[in-house]
Amino acid sequence: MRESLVDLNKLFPSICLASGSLFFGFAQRSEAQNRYATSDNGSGYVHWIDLYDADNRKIDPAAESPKPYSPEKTCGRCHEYSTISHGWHFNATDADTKHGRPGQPWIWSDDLTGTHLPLSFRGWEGTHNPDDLGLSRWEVAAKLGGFMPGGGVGSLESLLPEDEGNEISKEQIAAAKESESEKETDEWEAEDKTHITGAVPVDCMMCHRNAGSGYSPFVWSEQIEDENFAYAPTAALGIATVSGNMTRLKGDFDPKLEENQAKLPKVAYEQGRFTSDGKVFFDLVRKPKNDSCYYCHTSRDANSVGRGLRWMHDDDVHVRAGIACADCHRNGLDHHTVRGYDGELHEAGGLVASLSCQGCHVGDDVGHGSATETGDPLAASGRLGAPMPEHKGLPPIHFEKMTCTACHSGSMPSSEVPREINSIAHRLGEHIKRTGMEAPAIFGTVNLPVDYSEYLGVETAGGDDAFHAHDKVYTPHRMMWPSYWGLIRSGKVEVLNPQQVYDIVRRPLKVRKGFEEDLGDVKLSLSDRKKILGEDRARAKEEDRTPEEQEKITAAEEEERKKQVNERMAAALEAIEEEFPNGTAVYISAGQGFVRKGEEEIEPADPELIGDAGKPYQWPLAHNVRPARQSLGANGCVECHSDESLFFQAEITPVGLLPGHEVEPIKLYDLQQADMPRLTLWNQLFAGRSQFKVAGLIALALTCLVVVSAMTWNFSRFFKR
Amino acid sequence: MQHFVTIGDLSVTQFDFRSILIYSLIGLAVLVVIGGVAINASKKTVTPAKSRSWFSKLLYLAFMATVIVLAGTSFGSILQAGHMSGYALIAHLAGAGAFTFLLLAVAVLFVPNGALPEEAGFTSDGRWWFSRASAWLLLISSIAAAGTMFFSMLPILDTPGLLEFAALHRFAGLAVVVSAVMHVFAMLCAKSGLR
Repeated sequence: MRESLVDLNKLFPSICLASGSLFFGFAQRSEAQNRYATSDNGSGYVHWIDLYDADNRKIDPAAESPKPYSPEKTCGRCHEYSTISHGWHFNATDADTKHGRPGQPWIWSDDLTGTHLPLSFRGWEGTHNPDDLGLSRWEVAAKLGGFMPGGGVGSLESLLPEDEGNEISKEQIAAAKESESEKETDEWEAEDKTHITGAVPVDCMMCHRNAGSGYSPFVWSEQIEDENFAYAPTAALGIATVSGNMTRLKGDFDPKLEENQAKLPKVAYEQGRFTSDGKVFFDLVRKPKNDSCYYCHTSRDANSVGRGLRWMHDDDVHVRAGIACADCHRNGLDHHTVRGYDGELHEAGGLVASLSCQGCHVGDDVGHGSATETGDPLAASGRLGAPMPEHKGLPPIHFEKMTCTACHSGSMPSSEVPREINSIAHRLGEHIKRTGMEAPAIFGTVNLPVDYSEYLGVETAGGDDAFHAHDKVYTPHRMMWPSYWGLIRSGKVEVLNPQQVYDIVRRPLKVRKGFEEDLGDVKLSLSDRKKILGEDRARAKEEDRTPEEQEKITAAEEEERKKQVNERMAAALEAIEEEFPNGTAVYISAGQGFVRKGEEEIEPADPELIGDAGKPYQWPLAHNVRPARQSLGANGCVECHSDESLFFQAEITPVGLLPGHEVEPIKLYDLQQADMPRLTLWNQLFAGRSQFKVAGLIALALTCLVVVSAMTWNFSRFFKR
Repeated sequence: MQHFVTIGDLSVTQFDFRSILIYSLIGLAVLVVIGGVAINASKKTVTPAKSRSWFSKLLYLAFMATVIVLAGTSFGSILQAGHMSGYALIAHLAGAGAFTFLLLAVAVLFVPNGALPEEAGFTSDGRWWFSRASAWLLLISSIAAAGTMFFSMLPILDTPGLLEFAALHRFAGLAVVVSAVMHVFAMLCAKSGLR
């Protein structure tokens, strides 16, 4: 049974009265105002609600072909959907947004072409804008939307920016059909199946689900990858089974035709989840649980993966203290989530100043936008019982040169910067066996100097300010070296569209499972083994060979591997050059470029020609925060101020994907562009510092003694006269 | 609204040290010039002070050299960049070590002993009140400058305390420079027989 919209509106006032801004705290600080009534009760509102589909019709689970529920039409009845859907997690493509300090990129990974390319619409230096690469917004949404909460790049206003009302028109379907038929003969064109899949809906439950509610974010990811955009919230919520996927539907498919309806995914609702009047219980929370954040924001030490070593690692000290991610990374109704770095520009004004490390832990007169500076009581420090650090004896200049996180966050220093895996880049959540060494290689923690002046919300003049705008401040980072295919044209490297590259190089590369694995996979033929080991020993199994024989086989395989890599890579580069005759094809990996040398060989490209194209992308990290006694420098000054300091002397080895190509380790001081002669000289001052302190204090005490004695004697002489 | 003075208001960190530094150095230069002209114009001549031993002179010169290095690196940096860092900070710290030990030697050798010249058996450079006063000021301000930093190197003060002591250190350092100039001036006057 379907009810009209007018009738439905009669059913909802009670819900509208009861929910609202309780669901989205701090609405009063934001410009965005909630139009709906609220319950305002600390216990929250229990969401027994009707479900509505995208056409605003109430879901009948017993209907013959029920549609998936639409969060916009369901949640949007009582919550400001249009306001919420432009918050931080949804506004990457919004040109008017202030994107602030660089963050984690989306990584376009294609294991078949050896591509791991950091992408962002936010203009962060070192990332590539998908629009500039010729990737369609739809392609980005389909490839990467599995670890987004919907909307954003996959929203209708992103997919169809010039379309009034953001409706998918018949003309667009016709245009899509035309483009599909022309594809064979015309130039390569980015895929866009918006007219089939529709937009990626914002799924409120991705973040607002209660722990143990049964909502599965990985089902959401799978549905997005299956291009079942509209079905993802329903399947993930666990109230229905979705069968079928849209990946098999070609670009000229018209989902509106009656005869095509059978080809669309099917929804089978769990009727037991519905009450007799058609309501469903949504087990949700106003403030997102940590588990929700972790789905997209987990970073894990690669060495702990698959070895059962996770029990040896502590969580963030704040989490251990019972503080939730959303306690600091808050947002109002507008969903502009506080990122929490010092000087962040945010509409919440003073409040945001009190949610950074300094703002929360240090006095009210420190940090930009502080309570003293702004007079805003919301900027007052000490939130959630944050203790004020004493830093006894630590020269305050450290606070000018380093962020709090430089000493307190990230992995403990080690001689080799460890690798990490994270949710978005490595699809954590998928239930598979991992080694932790899966590409892309992401490293952390590397302390790098950052010029914050461009991210600070206010002008600062240096001086006694604890956070100089004009100085570079050491900040812990994660980093990755991109690998991709490009074209050297007019003296610089242009990144090629990775989808197009896949079409061009898949045949010459002959890769089926994985780029690195298949390129390096060689098996010597029997005739080759006969040449090496002789007729008698050629058939001997590996375990039966003598060490000398095995050595010969390994050397021959190595030679063959080198030849195979050269041949296939040269063929792939040649194929690109045939497609783009006015440039030189190049493959970038681990900071190096490789170009074709004749028909069957490749060679490293001139580094000057490669320029910054191979540079790593690095982004600041803030978690996990370690307790004070495990911070950098807790064991004394020489932890950093010595020639052996891992802060500067640790090494990092970029991971190259070309088998057989060695990559030299890089010292951190090179990445930091540190003035090592000065630091070495500085370190000398810390040799024997303890003894110097004792000797100096003795000398000072003796000086005082001499002066006091002389004073006493002078006074006595004065009175004698 | 009535404003009550609090401990925070009395903090030396609230003063604009850079301005105070500039006015102090200008004032000092003016005073030295005026003082020199006035003393020279008074035509008062006495027996020039008896020379100290070469060792005393060497220590005094070394001490003054460290004062110049410390003042140059700190005040130079403050005037130029607002704060001290880089090589200037390294030189300042290296100089500070020497300053601490030379201060003891200078205190032993140059502290005014209160003896009358005839009792001491030589013509003391301490016969002029200005010379004695500047020597006392030099010693006390030097102890304050070195003491504030040594105390800051111990795990006793927290960050606000350290910032307060750093400010005190700057003012003490300025006092060292002023008193050192005064003392050198007095020594030169005594040496040349003007006082």
